[in-house]
Amino acid sequence: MTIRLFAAILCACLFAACSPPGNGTGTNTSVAPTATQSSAGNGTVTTTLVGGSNSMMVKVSDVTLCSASAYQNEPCVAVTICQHGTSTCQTVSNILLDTGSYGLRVFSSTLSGLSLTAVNAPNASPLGECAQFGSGNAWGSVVLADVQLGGETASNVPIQLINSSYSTHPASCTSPFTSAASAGFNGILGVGLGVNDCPSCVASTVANYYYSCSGATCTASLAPAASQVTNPVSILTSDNNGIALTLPAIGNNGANSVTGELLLGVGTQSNNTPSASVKTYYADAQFSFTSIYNGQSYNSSNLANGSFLDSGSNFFYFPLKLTTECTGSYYCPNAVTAFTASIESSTGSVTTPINFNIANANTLVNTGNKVFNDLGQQTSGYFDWGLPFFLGRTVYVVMTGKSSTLGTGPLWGF
Amino acid sequence: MMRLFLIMLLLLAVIPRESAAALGEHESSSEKDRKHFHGFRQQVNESGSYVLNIISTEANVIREYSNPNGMIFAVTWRGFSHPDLTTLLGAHWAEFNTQHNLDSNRHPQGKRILKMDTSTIKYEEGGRMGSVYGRAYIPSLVPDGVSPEELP
Repeated sequence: MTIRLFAAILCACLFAACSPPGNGTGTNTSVAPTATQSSAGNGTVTTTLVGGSNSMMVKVSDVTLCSASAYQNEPCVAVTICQHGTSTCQTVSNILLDTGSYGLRVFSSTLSGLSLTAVNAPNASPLGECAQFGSGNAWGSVVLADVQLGGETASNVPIQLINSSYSTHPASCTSPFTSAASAGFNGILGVGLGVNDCPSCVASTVANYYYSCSGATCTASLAPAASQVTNPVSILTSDNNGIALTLPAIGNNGANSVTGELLLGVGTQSNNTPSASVKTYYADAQFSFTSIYNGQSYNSSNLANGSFLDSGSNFFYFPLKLTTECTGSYYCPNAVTAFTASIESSTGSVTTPINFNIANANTLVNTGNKVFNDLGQQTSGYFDWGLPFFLGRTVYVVMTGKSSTLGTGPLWGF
Repeated sequence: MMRLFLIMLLLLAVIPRESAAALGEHESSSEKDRKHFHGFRQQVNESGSYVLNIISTEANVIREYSNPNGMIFAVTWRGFSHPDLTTLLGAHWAEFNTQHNLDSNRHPQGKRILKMDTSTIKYEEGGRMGSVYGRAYIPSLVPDGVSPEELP
């Protein structure tokens, strides 16, 4: 595994701007990440990797596995993309690891020399997609590839090639990502609760999602499940029910970067079996659990977007009312401020208070560090527990309909 | 917010309507939104302070708020996907798009929600894949006593 990881990083460096670490001043090593573990200083904080064929290295805002211009709280992995059934492959680093989306998307500009088969819409024209994130749209074609995750391969999985110039993006696909440089990543690996990215597109042409593209013209289209961009973990031959993501704890002033680990599968091997202390938090059909703050519940049934854990959200996005905001509604309290909100299973079976801090966003960013557990921005009516939540925890993700030792998904475990 | 919604429900007057309009336009001036979004529409009279048109589609629920002069001062949406902003923002689409492109290098960089101001509108979007939301409003058209940030 060590050799494989080294090779992966080496490959990653070949495709990313490799430069010396920034202002890191040292390395702190943590063995078993816990919620209470912390580390002061600006260095690199590392989780000891358990390794195995189902292991992938994760680095947050790291100059090698992400890029020299990595943004704050950006978790990155490298994946290897191959022409189906061949050894013609390319490893791409700076892939955003995202528990808030489903499927692999890569900027077409990062690939060269691969001939990937287009997936067709039901009318036999190539399938295009406008994948919508909370903010930002990915436009491009859908193709088939073999995707290597760590030492395991998802064979012939539909992925999206992000390319704003593909055919003609519909005007309604607002301001799609134009380049890896401006987006901040070469691609997105969506390993959240979903297997496909648009279940309702199977039976109806949901506005502004899948398209049939003939030449320069794209029209809204159905997309059968087998044609949709698919969470590659779901079609591994084993370890295919979800993932476990471990990131180390850091101090209130942040770290220059951190190293953690993604394990494929939940309870499928000894290295990804949750301990008895891990609790199960079921998500509902909209993939939401309940957050409770100040007596108010935030779930998908009360005119809001509910509550979710999202490693691809680089802040806590919370509806807290703070009087101290910076421009852009970033939280900017004068001192680090402690909060408590509860996370409750959508079934009501488990409720756990979560303590977290919010610090001054401008002060944090001006430290030059890139990884923070206390960075927040105010939002409207929902709880997005972003990457800061994952620091100091192992979070288990079990996809919808998949069984595990924690129960049948969609569920989170921590 | 929930209380406001409950009050609105109490005042609900469901009137089938055939028209809707974009942000900044008169609510009775166009039929294009409902038709464009292939939705159905309800109108809610909110105690004289504003009128709410709700357009429900398979992909999302769009709410258009018009002031006592009939001008749409705010639009909000929640659902599976974002609506076609070129239609919903109407004449304000171009300035939105220009500002959106300028804001790509924000500092700090919050990546999963977008909040920005143009010279005439305030805009916010966020959420996650499969569950998104957004709002846009024109401060100069907001009726007295209405908090546009609180509108569901």
